[in-house]
Amino acid sequence: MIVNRSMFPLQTGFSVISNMQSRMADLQLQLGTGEKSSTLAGMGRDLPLSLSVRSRLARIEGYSANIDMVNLRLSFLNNTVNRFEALEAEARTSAAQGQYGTGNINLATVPDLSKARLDEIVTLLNSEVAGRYLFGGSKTDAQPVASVSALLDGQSGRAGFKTVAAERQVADLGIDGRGRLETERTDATVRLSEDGVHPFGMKVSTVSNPPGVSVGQPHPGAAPLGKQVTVTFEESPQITAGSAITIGLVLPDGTETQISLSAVNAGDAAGPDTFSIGGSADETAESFNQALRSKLLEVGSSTLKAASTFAAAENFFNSAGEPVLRVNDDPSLAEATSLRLATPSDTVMWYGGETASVAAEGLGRLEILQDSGNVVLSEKAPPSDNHGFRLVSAVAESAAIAAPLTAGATPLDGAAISFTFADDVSEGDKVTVRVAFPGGERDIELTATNGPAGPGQFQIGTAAKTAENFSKSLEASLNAAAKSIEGTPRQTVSAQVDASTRVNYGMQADESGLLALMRSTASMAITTYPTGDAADKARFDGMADRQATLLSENRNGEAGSIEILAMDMGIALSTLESASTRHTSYQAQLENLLADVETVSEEDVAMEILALQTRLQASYQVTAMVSQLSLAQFL
Amino acid sequence: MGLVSSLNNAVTGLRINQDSLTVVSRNIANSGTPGYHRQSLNVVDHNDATSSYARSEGVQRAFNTTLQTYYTRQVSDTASSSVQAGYLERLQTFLGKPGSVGSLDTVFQELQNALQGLSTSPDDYTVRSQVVSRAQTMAQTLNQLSGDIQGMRQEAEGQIAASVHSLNGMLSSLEEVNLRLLDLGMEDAGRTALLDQRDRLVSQVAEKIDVRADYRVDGTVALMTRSGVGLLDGRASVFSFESAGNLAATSEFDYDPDLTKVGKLTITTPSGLTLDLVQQGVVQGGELGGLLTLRDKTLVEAQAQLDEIAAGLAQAFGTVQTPGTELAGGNGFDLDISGIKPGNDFLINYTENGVARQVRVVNTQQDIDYKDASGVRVIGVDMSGGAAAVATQLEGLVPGLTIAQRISTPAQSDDAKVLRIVGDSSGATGVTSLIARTTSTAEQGAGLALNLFVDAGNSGFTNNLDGTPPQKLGFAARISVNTAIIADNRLLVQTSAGGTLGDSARPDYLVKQLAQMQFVSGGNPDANPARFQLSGNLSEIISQTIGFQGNNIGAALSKRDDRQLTLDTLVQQMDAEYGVNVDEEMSRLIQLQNAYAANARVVSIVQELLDTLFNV
Repeated sequence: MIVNRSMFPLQTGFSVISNMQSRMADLQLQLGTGEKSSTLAGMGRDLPLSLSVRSRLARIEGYSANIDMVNLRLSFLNNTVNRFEALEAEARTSAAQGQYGTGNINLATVPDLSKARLDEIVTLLNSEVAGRYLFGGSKTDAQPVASVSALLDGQSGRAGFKTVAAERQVADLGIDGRGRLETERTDATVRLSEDGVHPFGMKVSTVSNPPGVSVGQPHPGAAPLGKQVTVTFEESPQITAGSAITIGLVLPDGTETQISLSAVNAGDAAGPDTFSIGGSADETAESFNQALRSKLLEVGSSTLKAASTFAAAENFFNSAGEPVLRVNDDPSLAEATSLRLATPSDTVMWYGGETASVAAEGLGRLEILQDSGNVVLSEKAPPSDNHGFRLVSAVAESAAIAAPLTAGATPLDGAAISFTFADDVSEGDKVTVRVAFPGGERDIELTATNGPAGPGQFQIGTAAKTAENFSKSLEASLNAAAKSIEGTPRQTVSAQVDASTRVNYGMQADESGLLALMRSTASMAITTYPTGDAADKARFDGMADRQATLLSENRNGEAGSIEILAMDMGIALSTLESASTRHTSYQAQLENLLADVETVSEEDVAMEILALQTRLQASYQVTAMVSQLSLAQFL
Repeated sequence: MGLVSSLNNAVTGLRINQDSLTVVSRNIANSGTPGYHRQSLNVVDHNDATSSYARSEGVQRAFNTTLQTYYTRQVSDTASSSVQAGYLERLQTFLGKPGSVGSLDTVFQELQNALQGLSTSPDDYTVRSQVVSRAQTMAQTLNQLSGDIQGMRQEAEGQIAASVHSLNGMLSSLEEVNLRLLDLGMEDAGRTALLDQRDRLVSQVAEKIDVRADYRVDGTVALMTRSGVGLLDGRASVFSFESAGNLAATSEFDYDPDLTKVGKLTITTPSGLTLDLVQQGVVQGGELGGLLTLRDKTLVEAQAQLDEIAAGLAQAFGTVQTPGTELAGGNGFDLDISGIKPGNDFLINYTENGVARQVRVVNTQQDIDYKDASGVRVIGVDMSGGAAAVATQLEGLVPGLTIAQRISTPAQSDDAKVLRIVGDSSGATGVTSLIARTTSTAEQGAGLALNLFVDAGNSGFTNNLDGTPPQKLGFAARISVNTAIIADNRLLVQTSAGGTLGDSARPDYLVKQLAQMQFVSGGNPDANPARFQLSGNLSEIISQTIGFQGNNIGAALSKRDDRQLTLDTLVQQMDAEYGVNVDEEMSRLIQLQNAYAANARVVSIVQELLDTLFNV
């Protein structure tokens, strides 16, 4: 009540004392709670500072929580990647060429050991932290890799690796087991040709030319046959004993092998890989033909089978940007002429996590071939809408360049653009190629220029030179486009650990190092050597050699190798640590600042209480004395 | 001359002493009575030919008009600041200290941290449910604070009603006192008591409403408010208060009596004139003044700031930012405006002679064109008529930019919905970007934004300016978390049905929006010059609100203390002027005692002398 209606309203002197008493109570409260003020308004000028310091502290707390969570995941990943490194070293040395063990023990144990290793690899790839899978990129809620039994044996009618590899083997060997190669002798000429234009079996690449023989280097044969080489034996002088004819062959997985047959005189003991010199060139040719045929069978049952398994591994365990492929069994497996896309309903898809749809390494599944004034840009067969680039259109704003787009003959053939350059290409002529990828379309523009070419330009010269420059520039542009779309697996998962620092730690099971491990281990696991004979031993050698190459240390520098993964983890961990240290020290500073502003110094409060106490006592004393002094007392 | 005149003198002396004693005794008896003014006896000596004697002229009452006027004014002001401080003290306990559990800034920071955690572990159910629960806490805190503020407004109205009641009582008592004072024949004791009562009533009325007292010569008082409305002049005016029932955030005062939604305070003068006190701005102080300021300004502003925070929350989560498509020449942009609902807007970022500027074009029926507190120009345009209508309305408003509907050859079906904005060809004015800001329409399949916070009935918040009342008013009381997200918290992560739960795109977007989206409070700063403008991102707005309220409340509390102190000094001075000093009265008593004895002695001496005379 402002206007006092009660008797003997409080005099001002007394109200000062009651103010002192309430101040005493406030000081006691301060001493007890340690806070300068217990109410919002009491904070006064300290309020804005307190607000901003608290908001910064809360932000730091948020980042620290993130850091803790990511630390946990990174430590798991670190352990797992270290284990992968150990597994890679183990696998590299598990099988060596020529090391068959006593009684061929290695031949019997290597498949089982490889299967056990494969089990461990798949388990590690499917490892999870608190329900979050680590090797699927940003798809962390589902297992990235299928189980080992599903992978190898298939699941509910969908083919596994064993089936796919078996199909591929039939396609690569052909009907007669000679790797899709035919031989034919006409008079003194032996012709070795591929039985069609397809990716299966062996391809002829070189042929040596000793004296006494004239050879035809690989050249396209009569349709539908593929390339062929011819060896023509001369009548006189005939080939001398000891000279060898070596034919180089390319295997389905890209490796090479060669067949070397040496001539021996008739009557001499016929060793392996020999053919006898007959009386006439025809006879020599026939003997060469027979030797060649049996040699092809031998290679087919050993080296070719090993190469075929590894090629099947590449098809089944697809890398980023490539689809899963199987043999197209139309008209039949042994006569197959193309690969087809595998669908999730007929094949087990080994990797279900996040993956890039376009890979820069394979140029986005496009191929560029240049031949004098002609450049052909084609899609790799079979084309897939979900992987790589698809050609949409090509426009050449120039009178000297033609760029028609031809669609594939069948759905399994890719489209192609054929650029034809004339001599009179002028400066500023532009060629625009539109490619489509899952997620959009992109235009690649290349402009002709007279001077040195920059990015997106090609230099004009003669028709052939122009075409060569154009193909180089096209490759570079496509590479750049594919890289920009691909990104890196690391960026798929990231965490904010500071206002402007993000840690990227995504990992995908189809990165090159892990993929190589999967492919080689799975191939070794499904290959058995039942008889232990020479063919099996040769096959074992082929498999061991290929595993060692795939897992060799030379590939440590490739992006996605296990060593690079370990290094990326190390970088992420160190970023995390430095952020964490920063936060800790900043937090300590801020808390000090807040304490200065919000908490009381106990000494100050104690001193003030003491002073107040003195004043109160004095006031009470005086009040008591004054109240006694009244005239009424003395009358 | 002579014995008889001596006797007469002594007798008058005795009578004067008796009267003085009465006055002294009355003073001593009332030394503790509040509002009692010290009385003293006027004594004059009277001379005539035969004798000179003392005569009392009446009781003098200590009264200082200037001091009293000053006191009356101070009482009104102190009452006003005291009642405001009382309510605001409660408001500060509702708001809480920064950093304390339940205070707005703590709750918001926890929500932000939960979202950070969500972007690191989007696949974790616990983390997602924590985000939802912290969002609910935030919404509930805002609802609670709104409820508290409206509750205080309601209480203020209740207190106004009670004050009005007592005010009427006091005015009618004062009217009676005035009437009795007009009777000049009253004897002094009664008269002074009435005058004390008059002064008491005046100061009690001053406590309720600011008054100017006019003390007439005859002792009556006329009261009117400082603004000049008569309260009492012979007859008293009657106050009346018509309550508005439940006060919600949307019940605001309006100068139009048909539209106002708060209680009506009126005064009816004796001549029959009825005035609406709030509409005419009559009340300037006293408890009523303080309560009205609270109900119509202070608490409304606090509610408005809470509404800004709630609107900012809803918009930070739910705004889809769609950039325009750049034109082939690079000098302008196309923007599809079909999705811009009433309340949504689009931003034009352009450079004029190298200086970056921004214009915000809001979809509203109101005609607004002003510069807001952060320097951005805001233009209101009705977008229901398509791009052509918009272009017409914006014609010429932004010099250097050409704004028109897109015309494509051949004409495309959606041309009518696309706006084309082009800078001028000389390059002095160039468009940097065009961004349409619309409210998300669905939780999945409509981009990364998410309507986490929604209005009543689970409807989205578009900041519609055209409704009555506008959507933002009272939103803090209605804001709640989207029930679809409470039911299935995977919607926090999955932007399309069946998407992977490890995808952190949506949480990253939400965290970025929360940190970067800028809000500016209030409308035209020129129209509301006294309003405190908030601007910045959401965290800054919350800090500014708490800081502003803290300062406000602190200022109110210290003003109350200051005024109380001044009043205390005044009261002390009044004590010195009007109060009874017991020691003084006691000494006077002793003097009177002696004087009385002396006079009695004189009487007895004269008596003796007369006896002697008669016995001769």
